[in-house]
Amino acid sequence: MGEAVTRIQSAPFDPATAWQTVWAENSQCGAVASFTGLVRSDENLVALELEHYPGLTEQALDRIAGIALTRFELARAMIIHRIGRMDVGDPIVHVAASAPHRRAALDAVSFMIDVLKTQAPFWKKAYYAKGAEWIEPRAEDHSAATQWLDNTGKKEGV
Amino acid sequence: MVFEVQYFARLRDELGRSAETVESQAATPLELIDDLVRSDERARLLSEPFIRVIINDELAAIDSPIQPGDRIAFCPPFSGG
Repeated sequence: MGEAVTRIQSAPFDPATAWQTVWAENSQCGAVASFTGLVRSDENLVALELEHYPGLTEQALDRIAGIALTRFELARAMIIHRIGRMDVGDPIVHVAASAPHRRAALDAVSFMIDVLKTQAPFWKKAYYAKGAEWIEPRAEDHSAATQWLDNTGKKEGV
Repeated sequence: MVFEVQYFARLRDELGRSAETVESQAATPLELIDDLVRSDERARLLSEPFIRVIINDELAAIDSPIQPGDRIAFCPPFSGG
């Protein structure tokens, strides 16, 4: 059985250091894949603020990483998500997986980020020079999550 | 019966409060919204499509049964990552 690491934190994190954590020094492990989401400077964005539901969000990330471990037979799975206020260019989220083969690692990363975006209780507020607005999920965010949840004909309890 | 009601993110901003104690005979979150609207018309936004309901820290349906003392949270759609 693999190992899952999930963290929610207000402090910035270094994706390279996180990557090292997932890199399993294991001769059976031939692949590490990762995704890092950054604050993009859209439409004069000044900052982004992430809010979560204490307790429930942690449970959701644990569940998503746990499902990924089993479903893709991973050695390690990792999800780090920041909360609080972030500047343009800051990492928001880091998802990584190590596995014997590349397809499992790549698919696990896609699964975790796609499902996390609409199934874990986070909310984003964008701050612009002239005000702020809450960001709603887009239709493509929902379809990205649905493709994984529907693959097995059930929702896997996520 | 008394319920602890919480509002997250956009709902908190639009209602101007993060939590309140509500006296109600509601049997479901949907009925609770009716009571909330009677004292504050803005609470109508709680019945928008895609609003998520969390009862005692567990995701629930808007017509799930609720008990006195339950903590009921209303949340906009999730948008992490």
